[in-house]
Amino acid sequence: MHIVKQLMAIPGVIAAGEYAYRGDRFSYQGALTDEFARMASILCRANTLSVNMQSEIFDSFAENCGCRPVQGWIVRGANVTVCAVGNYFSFIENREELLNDVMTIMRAKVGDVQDDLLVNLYARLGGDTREALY
Amino acid sequence: MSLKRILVLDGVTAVCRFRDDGVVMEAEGLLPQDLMVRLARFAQWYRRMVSGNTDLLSLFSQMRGWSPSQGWIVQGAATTVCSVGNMVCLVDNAQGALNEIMQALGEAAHE
Amino acid sequence: MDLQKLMDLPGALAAFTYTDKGDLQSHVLREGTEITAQMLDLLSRSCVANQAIASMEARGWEALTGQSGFQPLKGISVIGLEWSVVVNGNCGVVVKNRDADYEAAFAALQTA
Repeated sequence: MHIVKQLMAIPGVIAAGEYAYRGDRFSYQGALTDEFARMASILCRANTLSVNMQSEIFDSFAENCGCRPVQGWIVRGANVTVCAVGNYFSFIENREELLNDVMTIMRAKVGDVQDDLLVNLYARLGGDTREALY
Repeated sequence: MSLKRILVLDGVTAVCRFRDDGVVMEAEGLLPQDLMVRLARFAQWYRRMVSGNTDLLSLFSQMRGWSPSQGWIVQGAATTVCSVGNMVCLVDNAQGALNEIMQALGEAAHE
Repeated sequence: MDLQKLMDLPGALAAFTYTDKGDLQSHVLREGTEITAQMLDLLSRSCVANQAIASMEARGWEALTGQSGFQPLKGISVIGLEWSVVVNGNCGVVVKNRDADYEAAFAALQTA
C-alpha cells in the first residue's frame, strides 16, 4: 500500500504527503488546504536541507559516526507533531504510541535514505546560479 | 571576471567558484587544496540552507524581497567568509571592505 | 535534569545538557560508544539552532494558518542512519535507531 494511504488509515494522523527537494511539487492527503500543503513542503525542504548539512559537518569531524546519511527529523509541538522521513512528511496528533508507530511505518516504507540523494537531485537540475526556489 | 581580480581586493585571502554539487570550479589564494574543497562544500550547503530559510521568512512575513536569496556573510573574530551565488571568499577583517567585496563577488557570480 | 534517567531510555548512547548558546555543560556516555564530548559540543550547537528554527516555524505556521497545537514546542529530533538525537530545552539524548522509543524520549525530556 502506498505510504501516504497507509499513514492516513491510522487514527490520529492529520495529514501526510510527499514534497520535492526543489520546486513546488508536492502531494498530500488529509486535513490541509493546497496552500498549507505548499507551505508544509517549503518547511520540510528547509529543515531537510539544514539537517543534511549538519550531518555532513559532523561526519567530517567524526567519520562513520552513524549520523550520515540523515534519514529524517521530528518537530514535537504542544499537541501536534510533524515528522519527515526522506521526502515524505506527516502531521500527527500527540496521542499515545502514535509517534512511534508512524516513525516505524515511515522508516520501513521509505527504506534507508541514501547518501548523495540531495546532491544528485540538485545536479540533475543544472547549475543556475540565480537559483530561484519558487 | 577572473578570480584574480577578486583576490587583489584588500583583505581577500582566498576565493573560489563552486558548482551546484559543491565541486570546485576555480580557486585562487592562499588556501591548501583540501581546505578549498571543504570551503566549496560548506559554501554550497550554506547557500542551500540560507535559501531554505529565506523561503520561510518570505512565507511567514509575506514580504517581498527575501527570496530568492543572493548570498550570505559570516563574520568571525578575525576572518569573515562571504558568498554571493556560486562564489565564496575568505576575508581578513582588518583589511577587507565587505561592500566592495560583495559587489565584486556578485558580478563574478553572474557571469 | 537527571542524565542517568535519560540513559535508561531504550537504546540510549549519550545524554547531555547545554547552555542556551549551545555550550556543552554536562554529559554521560554509554561505555564503548564512539560518541565523544567534542561531538556532543557540536551537536549541542546544532540542537540550539534547530530548536530556534523549529520554534520560528511553529510560530509562523500558527500565525499564518490560524491553527493551534504546535506551540509551545516540546522538542525536536534528527534521525541519522544509525542513531537519532532527541532534544528539548537545554537537554538531549542520543539513541540507537534500532531501539529508539521517540515518545518515551520526548516524555522524559519534558521533566527537565
